[in-house]
Amino acid sequence: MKRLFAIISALCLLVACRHPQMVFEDFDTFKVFASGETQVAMADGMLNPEIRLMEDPSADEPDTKIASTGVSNLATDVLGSIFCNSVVHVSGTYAGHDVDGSPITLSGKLLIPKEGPVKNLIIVSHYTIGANYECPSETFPMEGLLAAKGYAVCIADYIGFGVTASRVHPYMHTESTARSVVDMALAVKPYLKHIGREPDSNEVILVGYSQGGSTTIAVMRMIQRKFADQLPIKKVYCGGGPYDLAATFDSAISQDRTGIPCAIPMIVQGVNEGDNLGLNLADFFKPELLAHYDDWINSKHYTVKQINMLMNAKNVHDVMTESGMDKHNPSTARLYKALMINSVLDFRPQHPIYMFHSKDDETVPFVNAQRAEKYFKGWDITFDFDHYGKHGMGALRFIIKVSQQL
Amino acid sequence: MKKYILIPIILILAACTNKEKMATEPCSFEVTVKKTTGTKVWLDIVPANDAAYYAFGMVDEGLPYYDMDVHQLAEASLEAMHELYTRYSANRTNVGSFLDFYCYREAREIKETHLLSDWNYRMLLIQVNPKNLEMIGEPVIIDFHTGPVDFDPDFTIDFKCDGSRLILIPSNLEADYYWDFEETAVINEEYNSPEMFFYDLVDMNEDYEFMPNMLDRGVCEYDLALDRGIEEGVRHTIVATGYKNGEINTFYIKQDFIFEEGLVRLVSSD
Repeated sequence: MKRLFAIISALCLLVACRHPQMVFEDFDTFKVFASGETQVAMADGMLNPEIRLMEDPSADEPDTKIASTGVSNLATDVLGSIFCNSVVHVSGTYAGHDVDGSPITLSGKLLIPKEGPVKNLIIVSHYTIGANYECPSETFPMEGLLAAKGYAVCIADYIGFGVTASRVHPYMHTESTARSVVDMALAVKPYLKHIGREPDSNEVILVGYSQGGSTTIAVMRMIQRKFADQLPIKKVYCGGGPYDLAATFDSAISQDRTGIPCAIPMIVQGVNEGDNLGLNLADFFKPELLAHYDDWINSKHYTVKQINMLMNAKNVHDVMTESGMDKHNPSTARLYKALMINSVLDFRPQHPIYMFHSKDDETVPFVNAQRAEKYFKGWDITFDFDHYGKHGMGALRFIIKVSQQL
Repeated sequence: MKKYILIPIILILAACTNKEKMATEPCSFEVTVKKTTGTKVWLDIVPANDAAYYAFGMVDEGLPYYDMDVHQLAEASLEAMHELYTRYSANRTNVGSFLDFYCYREAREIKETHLLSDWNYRMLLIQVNPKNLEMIGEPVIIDFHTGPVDFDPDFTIDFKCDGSRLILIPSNLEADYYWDFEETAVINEEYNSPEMFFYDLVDMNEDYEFMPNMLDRGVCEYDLALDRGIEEGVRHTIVATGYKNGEINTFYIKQDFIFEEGLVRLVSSD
């Protein structure tokens, strides 16, 4: 028996000597539950259809063959400059924080080029999804393409998706959503080191479009204020984001229309949940929507486009009550204040930002970019506002632009 | 079938040729002073050419440059912007362009805030050549005068603590006041001063038309134990002012505090 112990001890010592970097590291932070490998470009040079591109959320925009072919071709632009066609993607859990700050296990995806050096860690905040099967840990997300350019890309699922799919997603609650993203970045850094794929540079790059655009700015604010040493920021890329949530909501209410009807109930529920406002959703929504709320939105069975089709709302007043649309009503005023707090323009950016917005965007109105420009003018921001197509097409153009600048 | 091939090609071409349009010829601007209040002005700017870039310079009657030749003043303003930009971008990478920092394009509503009340101002709209970043043509002069503010120099607030509650006791129980707090380090690092932090907050609340909802009157109690965002053991700074007729109408009032183990305590401001 003693001899067996001696052999085991000797083996352990040998292993420890061969991998000295493993001894004092805590690898429990990112626990892998699934992994795979994807060729981003097919043999014919086209984008691998496994890669999930953002669909245009508008219910009245049918998916046509022409549109999807165009999107695929645009995405192929990114492939022209890839360094490694094979991307390893790993789904895992990590220790995060719930809306009230208490510990919670969350999930997300890490993507890395199969071979070659890793330049930086890119922290992606993903766009709005409705179905759980769309969440990063379940798919190869569009932003994961950037891994093929020699970067490690981490994408958190957010609370309410992945391993927490049974929970309400605190949609647009910036503090908890940003925290989920930061927690994942903090968890994957030691993991990357553990697997021998530590990035060459300690600086991180932040990327996000749509909900992810505004979350990216919230992540920047959080890192700048709390995690500047652990996650030094190199550059921030954000596009099509509802940075000014109150203005976005207000614009939808005052114009009585929105390009993404499901965002209205998702915002009200999300901010109510995140900030524990205690609002009664019956004060805001008409019975038809209330009756199907859990199935359409909280079941996570439907994509954003499908929810919009199920809601079949042409105008905001089709789903909202009069008191819910009146910002002088006490409950609505309470919501507005929370929306203002959850907007992300109330800070001074200390790192360079590239901000993209299509003037043709009907889903996240261009007013958001103008408000961001107003508050951030004079700081280190490159504004790229032009006619880049609707929200979905804008997402692709954004990724191409980011890819070109990396 | 052919059209399926053609359309993607057109889309790719559109993406590739979407170059920024830049006007290098002088352009006319329609400038309207929409509204002035005690400390604010709203301007509507409509350039004749959407590809024209423009920046602003501003002086008030208290400055020696106020009566300077406008062309020289515009040149000096632009030079000052170049100087600031050069200083910022030295030894930095990934820096935005000068145009992104200081210039606008297309129609804009511009709001200038925190001006002196009952005071003359001269704004200059300067068209900038995006190729060489020099001034094009003659600057547009925008003269305006701000209105009065009902200033109350005696207004103060006493701060007290009771367990986890912070209590604000204003000197005038009938006066409206606005207050908020932030981590002191954030204020110092991002805003340089509590006043600048407060400026931004007030601007944002005014833009949302929320200011009436944000004001307090009389004694105000705030229970920090219920605040999810408060970080324990970290120094915070409260900034407060009186607010009347849509204007800040008192001096700034500041107080630092720390919330720890369920108790709030005041600490003297540096």
